[in-house]
Amino acid sequence: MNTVIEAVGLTKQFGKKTAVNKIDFKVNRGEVFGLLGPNGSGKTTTLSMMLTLLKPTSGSIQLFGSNDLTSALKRIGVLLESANYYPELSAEKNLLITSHIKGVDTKKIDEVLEKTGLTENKRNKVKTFSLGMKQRLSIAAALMSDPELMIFDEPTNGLDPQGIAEMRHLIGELAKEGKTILIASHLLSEMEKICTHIAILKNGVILEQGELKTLMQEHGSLEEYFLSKTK
Amino acid sequence: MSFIKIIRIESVKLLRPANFVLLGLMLLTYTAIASIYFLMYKIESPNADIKTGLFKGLILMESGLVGLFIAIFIIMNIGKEYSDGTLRKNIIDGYTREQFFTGKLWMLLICIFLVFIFGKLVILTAGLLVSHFEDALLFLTPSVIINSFMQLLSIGFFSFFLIFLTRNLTISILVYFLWSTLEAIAQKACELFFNIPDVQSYLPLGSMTSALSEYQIVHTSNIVIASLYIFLMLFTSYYLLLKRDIK
Repeated sequence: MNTVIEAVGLTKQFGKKTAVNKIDFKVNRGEVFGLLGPNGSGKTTTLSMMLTLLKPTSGSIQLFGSNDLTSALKRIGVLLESANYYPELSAEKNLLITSHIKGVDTKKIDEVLEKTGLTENKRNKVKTFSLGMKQRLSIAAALMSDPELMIFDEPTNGLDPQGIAEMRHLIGELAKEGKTILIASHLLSEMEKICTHIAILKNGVILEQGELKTLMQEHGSLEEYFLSKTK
Repeated sequence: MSFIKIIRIESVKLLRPANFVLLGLMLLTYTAIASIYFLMYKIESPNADIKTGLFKGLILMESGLVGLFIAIFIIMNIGKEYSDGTLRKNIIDGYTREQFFTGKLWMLLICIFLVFIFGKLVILTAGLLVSHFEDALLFLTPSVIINSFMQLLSIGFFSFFLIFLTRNLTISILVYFLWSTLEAIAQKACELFFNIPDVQSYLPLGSMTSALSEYQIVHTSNIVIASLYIFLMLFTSYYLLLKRDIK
């Protein structure tokens, strides 16, 4: 199965407001797919439907060729804009919960803590962590199940330049490992460095999608291309 | 996912200092109040009316205080999952809404059972130390046990329903207190203005409080009403969690 994500006619309405309007897109194995768009364009809503947090008003999403999204979630690593953890529990205990849910051996906890440089802080409560540390804990949790697909929502928001560089490095490493990556962001310069494919979303509608190189042939940069499409 | 695994996940989540503080506070308050009651019971023992009054007072205090602990415990532990965004995190990790609900439901039942046993142990200990052991044994008659256990179930499921309905810790606690007060006002108002003496018996929290006021007998009708409310609140909570978006 080459297609990892497939959305068909995906729609989400909140009351009378249509946040996502009949969008279709496909992400194939090994692609770094950027879901680009200004704030409020429907990126996070699309991801939330994929992650079963929101129920689509109509349309469908398949992950790994299956409609059973809940089972598929165990094969996915997710980094959301806001890291959600049990603040009064230690990093280790938070990862213990994740490991039980994902059905991963608890030995993996020390491995991911080591990988993200949190070993020394593993017994500290998460509420004492800095934003960067919380982000690293999110990465640790996302890597727990050795995911085939990684989903990032505004991964560099709120990070300092060093944190941004680390995040870019991480995404690059994951792409080299052949993992499929979906990133929702409005930071075009970052996306240009990372993505192989993009979809441009505005007012809940996909304006354009395809391979980044091909789409950019007419324009010098992703920013120019994006502005020409969204103005 | 196995039942044991769900219980293991929920147990890790409970290792928060706030839960231990809450439990400690309840233990201290409950022990202190139970000891005072027993002391008064011992001193006033020649007067049968006062004895009955004190006995009833302690039963209502027991169910009220332990019930309050359960309400705060349930609302706090589920409410924090919403406010900290950890419900979102659990779902994203692959915990289904059904598993989350099952976990919380079992935690509620285990909590009620343990707190109930714990409450009875405090009564026995306080009775033994301050008064006579036989006095404490009066609290362990089948009617008292059935009525007070049903009372805790009513309070537990009401709180469970409130937090899934409002998804907000503060609002749930406020509504809980407001509702308890409203039920008492409704009872008084119906007595005064419509001459209906026992409307409380038909209300979600009041049905078992009313039964506990006459602790000597098991009130089957009150238990049936309370059970109906419990099932209604259980299924509504499940429906709300399953059908609503998680933002």
